[in-house]
Amino acid sequence: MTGLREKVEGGKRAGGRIRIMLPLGTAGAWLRRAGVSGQILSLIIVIAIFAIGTRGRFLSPANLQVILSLAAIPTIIAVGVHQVVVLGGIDLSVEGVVALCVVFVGLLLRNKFNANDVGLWILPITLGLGGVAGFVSGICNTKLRIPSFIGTLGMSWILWGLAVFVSRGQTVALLDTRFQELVTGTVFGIPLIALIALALVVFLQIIQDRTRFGRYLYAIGGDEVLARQAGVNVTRIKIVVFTLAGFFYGLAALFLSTRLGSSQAITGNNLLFPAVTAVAVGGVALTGGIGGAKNAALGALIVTALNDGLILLNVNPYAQEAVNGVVLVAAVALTIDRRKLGFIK
Amino acid sequence: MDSLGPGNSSSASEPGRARARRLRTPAILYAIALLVVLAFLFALGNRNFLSAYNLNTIASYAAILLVVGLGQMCTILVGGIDLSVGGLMSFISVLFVVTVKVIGFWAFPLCLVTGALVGYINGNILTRIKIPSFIATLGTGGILMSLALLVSPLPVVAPAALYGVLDIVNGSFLRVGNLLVLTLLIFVVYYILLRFTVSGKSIFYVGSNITMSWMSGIDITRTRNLAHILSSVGASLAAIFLSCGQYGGDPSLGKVYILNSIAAVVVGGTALTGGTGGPVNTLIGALVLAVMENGMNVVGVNAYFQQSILGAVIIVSVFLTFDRTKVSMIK
Amino acid sequence: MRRILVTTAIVLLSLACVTSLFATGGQEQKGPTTLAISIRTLSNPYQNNYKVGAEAFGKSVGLPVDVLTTEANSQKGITDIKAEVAKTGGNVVFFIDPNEETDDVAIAKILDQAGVYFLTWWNKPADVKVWNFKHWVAHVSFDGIAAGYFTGTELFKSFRTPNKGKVFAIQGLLANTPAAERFQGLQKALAENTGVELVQWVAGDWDRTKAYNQTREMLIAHPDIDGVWCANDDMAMGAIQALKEAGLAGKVLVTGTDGIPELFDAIKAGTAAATVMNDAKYQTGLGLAMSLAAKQGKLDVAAQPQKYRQFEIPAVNVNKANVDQIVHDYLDSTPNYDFSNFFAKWSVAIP
Repeated sequence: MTGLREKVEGGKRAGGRIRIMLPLGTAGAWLRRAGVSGQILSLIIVIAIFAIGTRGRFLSPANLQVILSLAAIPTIIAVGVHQVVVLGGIDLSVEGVVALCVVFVGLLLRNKFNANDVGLWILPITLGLGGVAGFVSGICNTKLRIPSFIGTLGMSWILWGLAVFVSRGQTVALLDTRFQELVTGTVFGIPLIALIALALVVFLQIIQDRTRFGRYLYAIGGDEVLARQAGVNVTRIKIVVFTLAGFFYGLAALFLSTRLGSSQAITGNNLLFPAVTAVAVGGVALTGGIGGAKNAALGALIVTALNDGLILLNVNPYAQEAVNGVVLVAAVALTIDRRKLGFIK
Repeated sequence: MDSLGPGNSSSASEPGRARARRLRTPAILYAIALLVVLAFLFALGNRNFLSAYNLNTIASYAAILLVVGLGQMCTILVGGIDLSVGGLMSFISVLFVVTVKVIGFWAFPLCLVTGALVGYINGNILTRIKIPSFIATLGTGGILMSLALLVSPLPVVAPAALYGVLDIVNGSFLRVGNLLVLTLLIFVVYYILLRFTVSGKSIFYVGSNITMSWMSGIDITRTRNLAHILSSVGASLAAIFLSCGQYGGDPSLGKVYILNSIAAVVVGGTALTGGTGGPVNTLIGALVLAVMENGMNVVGVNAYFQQSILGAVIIVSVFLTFDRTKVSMIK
Repeated sequence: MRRILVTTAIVLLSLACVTSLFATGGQEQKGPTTLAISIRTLSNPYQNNYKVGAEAFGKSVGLPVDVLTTEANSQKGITDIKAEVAKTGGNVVFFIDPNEETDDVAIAKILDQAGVYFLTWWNKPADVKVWNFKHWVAHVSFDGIAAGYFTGTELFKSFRTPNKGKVFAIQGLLANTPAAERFQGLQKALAENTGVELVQWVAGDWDRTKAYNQTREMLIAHPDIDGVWCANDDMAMGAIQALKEAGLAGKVLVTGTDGIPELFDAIKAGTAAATVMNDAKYQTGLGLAMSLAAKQGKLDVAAQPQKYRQFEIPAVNVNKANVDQIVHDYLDSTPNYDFSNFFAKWSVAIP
């Protein structure tokens, strides 16, 4: 409900502060309507701080290239997670799914470990693996009626155990170079992998804005009971969303292992928290119904830019967590659009 | 397991409620049955599982999960989440050991007050600055983590002369571990607080429907601050217990408890959407996790499969414990 | 109804309390002694070799092996050790790589009470002494400072103008003792080579992806870097990958510690300068052999001099010169370990 109301009223009730910050007429109005003005503002703040702090080095083309390239994989993962969050749930299966997919990429692509080489077939295979995992999570959530938190957490542990067992804890060096170009190449100076991520974000955003599936998504996130009563097939939509998320993780896994030129189960570690943080920082309300793919992508960009800036500024590693925390809270405090959320949870 | 929360808004019609009342009990009984079945299976695998020594081991492991889980449960019941427990536990752990060297016994109250203060700050960031608890506690958690590293960049060990102070927790009274007695005491305090006091009951109301609670005159700011204070106190207590048990503080001690504390709460059947669940659920969640953790090793399950089996069991456990009658939709 | 349920719950917990009244520790059982190892994880090649080594030793003496993992959770590690004691009724010996050094006292007290012999590796607080515990056979470690020093000096030699240039360091997990020791070793190397400047260090948390990201970001801040020092091989591989993308692999070298096969390949290919191999198979073999000997009465723990209770053994330093030999000795064939003399590799006592 909140989501729908926001779409209707968001344009009319523009906040004074944000209007001052964005006196750009139509562009400003579009940003406000799109619900990303706050995030763009935080991104600008982060960039401004680091650009001044590093005397412009942060804004050098080389560094922007690095940020875009490094933000791509978190973006793909965050975009997968955010749809589930929009539904009002959460998806914690990222690490397990990625671990298993990465291990299979290692064993099936040309490698130093065995004679397998499935070539381009690896793409449908990893996407399929991720999709099946997502599908099962969806079934768990809808048919077994298990809260997504535990369903996906359990799924993550199950797949993680499987990944470690299949790989026997070994690292497999990849010899395949066919996908290497995708993660290292650039087009007009923009990393190819960032363009792929961007294409996915735009594609998903259009689906969310323009299709019935998208409308249903927000209807369920806003008030699931109401959506169900209005005749939306909630179960099907939820399963589709979980499966889509799985596809995204599978793709991320392929890119991750190609980028590192190796495959090991622990590649999946430390992916969940940054992704959920990106989703939250991007302005996707964890209560559901608010925020789209563009929010998740912006969130991932903010988090990546922040990490990059902390290193360029040479912030003491012991203090990095604290600086990270302060900047996150400050960025959200300055930009969060509190009118949309009613009560902040 | 009474329904203190006002039913979940629109869906709960009258016949639905009546059915809910009839169905209410089994959920928790199923959970106890699951525990008994697990215990039986493990005992079949190795009869030492039920030895006094091993039950004591399980209880001590569950105790820590329970204490940090009880705290986490308060923020979840009120409809939020507390991600700062990781940083807080790390910070309290080193702070406790460093201060215990100087002021001895007084480190206990000092750390608890520090913990409560952190909870108060968390609560105010949420209620006054109006930042979602996820981001607010993520931020304070990071700050606390850095503070922990500032207090001590490496693990600190308590000198043997101070073992006497630390044995307040490690020792035993009439051969019952003090840790278990203290945990039981904490459990009872949280139970009474949440079930029998006005402020405690408000936590359930606010979690079920914050708008409605606000309209009916509940001080939602105070309630949510209280929930965060309770959470941080729980985490601080757990950190103190852990540091006593290990005779030292460790600035990386807390990390694993962010997810584990939430898992203990949710495995017991408390809903992340807030308002339903309670201390008994958390107790069961902690026991399920502890019994699994211990049992798999006692019967000698291959280490490769332990994580997978644990994942499957928590799904089964929630399938049994989650009280679907009170939650109109599963998120 | 509610009251009944609450009562049941409280009774359950009280039951657990009451039963601890009769806690007596495991009963001695007849039958084969179990060899148990408590390690961090099975998900990385170095740690996985602990398991391989333990199983090889178990096979040689015909005893069963159990593997416990801590997964970065001290409390889980301690609880699992107690579970293993319960499982075997105390008829067990341990090889333990504690999650953090603060776990040692708790573990020592538990196992001393249960009468179980054990040996620890890597993590031990300096002021906790092994000889204060009857069943703590020994604490053995590799010299972390020496490892950091060796890789540091090897790295400096690889610079375009040897021992003169800029180096960037990726530390392991903050608050982790071996990580800190290796970093200390690097600093020792830096102090001796005044021409080398440590431009920056970061915490890579032992994570390959993180090290990859940090190296890429680092190359923006310091494009004129001459070498990347990493606290372990996994992170070193991430750094190499980032340098490859920047076209600097082979020009800017990397070092690690642990000795995983990939890094040996990197040394051969000229993208890494050196690593220090910690022979995990020997670690578990020696640890279990000593604990078992103590259990069987072949090793009188109390009679051992203090220098044999806390000591270091040398790790294997690997660089371009000896990498082929090392791969031949340790990877292509499993060396024939001799565990009859426990102190064959003894190098220095830990005070």
